[in-house]
Amino acid sequence: MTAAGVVARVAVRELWMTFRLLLVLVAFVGGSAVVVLLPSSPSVTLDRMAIGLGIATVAGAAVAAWSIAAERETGRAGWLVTRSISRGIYVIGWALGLVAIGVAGTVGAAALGWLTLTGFAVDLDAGSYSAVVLAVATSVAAAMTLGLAVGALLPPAPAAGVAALLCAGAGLLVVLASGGSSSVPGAAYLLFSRLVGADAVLPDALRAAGVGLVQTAILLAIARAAMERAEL
Amino acid sequence: MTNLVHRAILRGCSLTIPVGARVLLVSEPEGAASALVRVLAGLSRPSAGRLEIAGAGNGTGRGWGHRVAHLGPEPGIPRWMTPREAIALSARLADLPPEEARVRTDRALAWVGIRGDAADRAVRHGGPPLVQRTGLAAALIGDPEVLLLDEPLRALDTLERTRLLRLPGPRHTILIASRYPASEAGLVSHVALLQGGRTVLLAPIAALEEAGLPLSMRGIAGLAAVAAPVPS
Repeated sequence: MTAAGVVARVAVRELWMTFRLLLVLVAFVGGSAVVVLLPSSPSVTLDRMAIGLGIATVAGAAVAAWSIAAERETGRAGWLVTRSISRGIYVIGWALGLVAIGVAGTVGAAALGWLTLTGFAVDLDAGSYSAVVLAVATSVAAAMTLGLAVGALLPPAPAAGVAALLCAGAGLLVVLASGGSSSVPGAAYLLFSRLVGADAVLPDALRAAGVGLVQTAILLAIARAAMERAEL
Repeated sequence: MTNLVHRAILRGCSLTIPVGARVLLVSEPEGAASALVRVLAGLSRPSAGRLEIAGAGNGTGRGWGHRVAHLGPEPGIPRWMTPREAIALSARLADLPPEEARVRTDRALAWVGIRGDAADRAVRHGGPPLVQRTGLAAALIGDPEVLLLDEPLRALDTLERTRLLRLPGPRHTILIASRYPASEAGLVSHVALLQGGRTVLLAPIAALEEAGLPLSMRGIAGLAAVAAPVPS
């Protein structure tokens, strides 16, 4: 196993032992469960799903920021870094662990949503739905890496607050000012509402996924640079 | 380097330690010695300057565990990890072959006095003494050339602490940052004093005896007052 894999394993176990993994999963899957429990028209259900996933994403970013900041403050990051692991690898390992959890939550939420919607006998295109979920998953990954970057700079509580504010602010900005463009970072969530219409969502969803991946890569580079200067 | 309020802790600090020397590092103000050890261990980043340890520049990446080990006052071992897991993880990250890692882990556990079930129970059950014993074993598992110790093993009784810090083998170069110089008697060959962030003394421990001074902050400062200044 590579050094990044070792760090990712330690990160996931740390999140599991401190119930933060459960918190993220509950935020994602619980949001979808609410969708299931409150039946309504398919378009409203999809809107609610988008909102639920958005809230879960904000929670995920806050947990990521809190976690990495706590790792620095308690010396756990320093302990691993003095075990032949570079700071860059450390950040990549944590990003892998957090993104894996975020993506698992997104997929779980999407599966619940799919079951609910197909229960309505709605004619949903599986390919388009999967592409939208993929796009949202890349946005979740970007939010997690944003949390890492903030957590590398601030103490736990402020880091969680700032990461949540940044994510929520970006989401609000997308809703108010994206104008339906899928090229705006974070616009993937808005594509859910177009799944029941006659629009071809697939190209826009793939574009949004690409934007999410680029965003994740940029934020990961920023998190790495922040961690290089951080006190461990 | 600077602390969070950008007050210089180390300024113009220059220190060259011969291979095999066991140096007691004390400072006025007290935090500077620990700060220097943290910089050398790669846990804090200096704002300027150059350092070289065991023939390589600062960098805690691959192979670091073979050259340098660090043990702080509170090793950041995850509290859910067992001593065996922590030491085995260190062995793996030090690139030891699995069989050798297993043998060395067992030997290290016995040497630091972790016996029976204690080796396989989470370190949180054993409190600070168990965490510190585990931290020392994990630090030494890669047989490093240089040991950076920052107020090590303070949770152990004096006799046990002295036994563990009297490391076998002539090739270890050791730097111990300590606020209690008298407690390091018999463990060190040299003493270094930082005052106002600069190195003002690096002398054999025998120089204290020759000058009729005790191994204490007052004695070391007294020696610095009469000894030749350390070239910067």
